[in-house]
Amino acid sequence: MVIEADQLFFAYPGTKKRILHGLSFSIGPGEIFGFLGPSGAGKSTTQKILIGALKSYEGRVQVLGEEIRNSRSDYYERIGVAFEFPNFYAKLTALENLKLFRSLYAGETEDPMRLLERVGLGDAAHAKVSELSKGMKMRLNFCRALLHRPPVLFLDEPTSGLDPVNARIMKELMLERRAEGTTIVITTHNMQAAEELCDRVAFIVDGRIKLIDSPRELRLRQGKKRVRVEYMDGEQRHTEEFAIDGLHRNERFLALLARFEVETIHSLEASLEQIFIDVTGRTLA
Amino acid sequence: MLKYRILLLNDARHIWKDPMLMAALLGPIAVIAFARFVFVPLSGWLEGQFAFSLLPYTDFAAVFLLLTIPLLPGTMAGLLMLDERDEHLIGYYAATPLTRGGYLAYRLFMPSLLSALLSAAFILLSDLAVIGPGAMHAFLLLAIEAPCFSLFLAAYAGNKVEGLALSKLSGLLFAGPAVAAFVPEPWQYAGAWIPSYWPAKVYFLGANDEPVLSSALPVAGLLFHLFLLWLLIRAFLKRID
Repeated sequence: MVIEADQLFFAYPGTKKRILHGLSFSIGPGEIFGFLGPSGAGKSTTQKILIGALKSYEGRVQVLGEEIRNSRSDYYERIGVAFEFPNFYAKLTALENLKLFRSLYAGETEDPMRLLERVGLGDAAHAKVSELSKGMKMRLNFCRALLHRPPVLFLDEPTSGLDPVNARIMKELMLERRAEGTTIVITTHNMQAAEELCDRVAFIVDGRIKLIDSPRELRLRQGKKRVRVEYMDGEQRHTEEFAIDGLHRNERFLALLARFEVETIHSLEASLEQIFIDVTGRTLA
Repeated sequence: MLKYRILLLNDARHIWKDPMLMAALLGPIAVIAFARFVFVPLSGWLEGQFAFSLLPYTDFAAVFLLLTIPLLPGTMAGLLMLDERDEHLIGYYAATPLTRGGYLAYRLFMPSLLSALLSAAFILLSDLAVIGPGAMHAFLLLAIEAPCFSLFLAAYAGNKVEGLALSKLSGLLFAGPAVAAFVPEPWQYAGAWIPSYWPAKVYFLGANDEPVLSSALPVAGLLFHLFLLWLLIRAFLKRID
């Protein structure tokens, strides 16, 4: 396993109230793992522990075989971090910012210009960061996390505030990294992004993990094994549902396909958002 | 060391592009030039015009000018830290091999080094300062005051504009040498909470040929400055958390 947490408890120094209550999870190599939960659920605190920013935790947390509370500065040679807000030196260009952060690493690093080209920012390399759009800054933020070729990436709300085109670009970039074997940990409250990207998700509410599973499994298991058909009968639109089992023998279904103009057919698996509400009793707002 | 060299180059670029930061760097050089080339002629002119000589106050003037030196690199580093704090860049540095501690060490070392170099230049080149153990100890305390001032701005200013306003409060620090020079003992110890009191006090001890090294004052001044530095580091870390 790349990341393993066992009975992780945490309270901020100077407070008695625990934020995390015995989290246990493990994340394998080349996996995209999502922490989903509403604001204040504990997902950002979990991420801060994983990136070594909070070390006064109880329990066991290992990343790449190293207990986080004992980690030193060389730990950051092996992890890449992109926070939710893509902050840079606004007066420097995109390329200058990347060169500055690249200089902080002792190991092998990527050519910043090549990275920029890979994320479609080659033409903006010499533009000041203050002139870039939010989508461009998010891609630049992603580049910064990749500079030192880390085997593990931590991304906080990687598609937050992005238009659909830029969100799609970000998702493709993450999937590319996964294909190259990088383990990616995402914290988000964007269910759609999690559904599309994550191999497994953990639902966190009130500092506890309520469930861990793959979005696909969850949607199939918690949904109905049925299809809904919308069709037109003359000027009238009708809807009917059928069990998926034995659908190829279902006479009514087959007749409907033959006799009417079918507009849509949808399987009725549950949405991740609905599952979250069912499992946790909470919304993600 | 490469990472510190690149950070230094980045700072140099920032300072070059920002006239205010540039002024903070060049200010101490202007202070040294004033002390060396203007003070004595000015004193002569005042004596001729108003029968008032500055020369009896040379030690006070030397300390007064010397105290401005750490304020300027301290302000410069404080404003850079404020920018980085507001842009949440410190969190990004913390997630690199530089780490938060390395960032803080670099940011505090630079004003300290600049203050030490420029204070030493003042002591050696101004022709006003009395070179001796008093000046040497004052030089050490001023090297600690510069990062204290950076931290004060970065911990307590809400933004860069507030940082500039707070930097004006540095004028209060000139009360330190005034108390040390003009308030009789033991009453002047009431001003010991002013950081600049201590370098002024030890400088005057040395300038008046009183024992510096055998006195408890340099040690007390050093402890006070280290305590202040510790308090301000804590305040800054609390602010960025």
